Amino acid sequence: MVMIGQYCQSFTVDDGDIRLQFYPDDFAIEWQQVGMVANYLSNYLTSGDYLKNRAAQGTANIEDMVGSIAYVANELFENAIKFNEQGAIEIAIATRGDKVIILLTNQLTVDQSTDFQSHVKNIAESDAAMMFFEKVEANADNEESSASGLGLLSMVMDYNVILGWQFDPIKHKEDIVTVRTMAQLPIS
Amino acid sequence: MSIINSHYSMQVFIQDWKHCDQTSNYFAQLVGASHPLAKRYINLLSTILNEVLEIIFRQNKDNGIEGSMAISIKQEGDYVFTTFDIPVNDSGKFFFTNAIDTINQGDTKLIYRRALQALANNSDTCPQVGLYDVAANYDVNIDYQTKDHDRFAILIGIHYGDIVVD
Repeated sequence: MVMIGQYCQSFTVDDGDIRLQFYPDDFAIEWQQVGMVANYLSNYLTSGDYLKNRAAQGTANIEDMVGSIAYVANELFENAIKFNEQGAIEIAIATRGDKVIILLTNQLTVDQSTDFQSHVKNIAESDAAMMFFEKVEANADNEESSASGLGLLSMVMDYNVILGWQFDPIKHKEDIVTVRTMAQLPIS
Repeated sequence: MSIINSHYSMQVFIQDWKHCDQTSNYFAQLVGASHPLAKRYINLLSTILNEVLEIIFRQNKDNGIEGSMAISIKQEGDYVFTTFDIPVNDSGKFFFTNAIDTINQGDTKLIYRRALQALANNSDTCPQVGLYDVAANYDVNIDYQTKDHDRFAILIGIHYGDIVVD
């Protein structure tokens, strides 16, 4: 097992106020549906008592939370769809204390996992703003590059999201790794 | 073919009536996106799922039931099967068993009409009228599975093959 960034093992998918499990090998997830998942989760969670009570107390802005939860969920789910090697993709979301926790689980090949660990280690250990602008410049200089790699950095910079990852091998599948991405979004 | 499995904290689900509509709309959009009959099918599916979720909402809120609800959606040929696996107490189990047995043993349109008359006459609150509506007007198969003493599964089978293309 490898953990990078701030990953809270005490929170699992079973702790989600809502948890969705998809099977893209059997039922393909179209790109326009990524936004639908994010919007659904965001609207569902912000309709619950926890955030409504926080808004009534003046310690949360529901409109802002709808947008920020949807953005983070969208980025994480989109990454999972893009890079899932096989098997189910799972997303769980809950309110805990001063945070909204989003936990995304998917599967990577060992090579993908190695590359991704290197990437997120950089994010966890570097200045996110500096990395963001370096990436933007690199993308601008390289015509073949895209906005890839900016989503996680945007979350950290623009939404003060705390990110963490856990990588686990799968029994009897030596070439596949389960990755859990945890985003902790401050309630504001 | 599994389309989606989902789990909900019942305590959170029953906090807002909007959760029924949000969930049924989302599932309908998810399932319907892959069908060439999309728009009409999405509306149909959303309506059916919403009626079932509303009954679950009311029953669990009225009875103060906690625990978790699992909703799974599968496709097999021209059918979409949705299972609502919910926590129940004895009263809830009796309510759902009685409602679904009534549907499966009688003329669903007559059952629905009588329920509406009872509501209009204020002679019965008829909380199961939503299930009667779904059975009578949407050609849906409804069944159930009793599980451990505090769990119950409502099974909904929808055949979309007869829906006219827009």
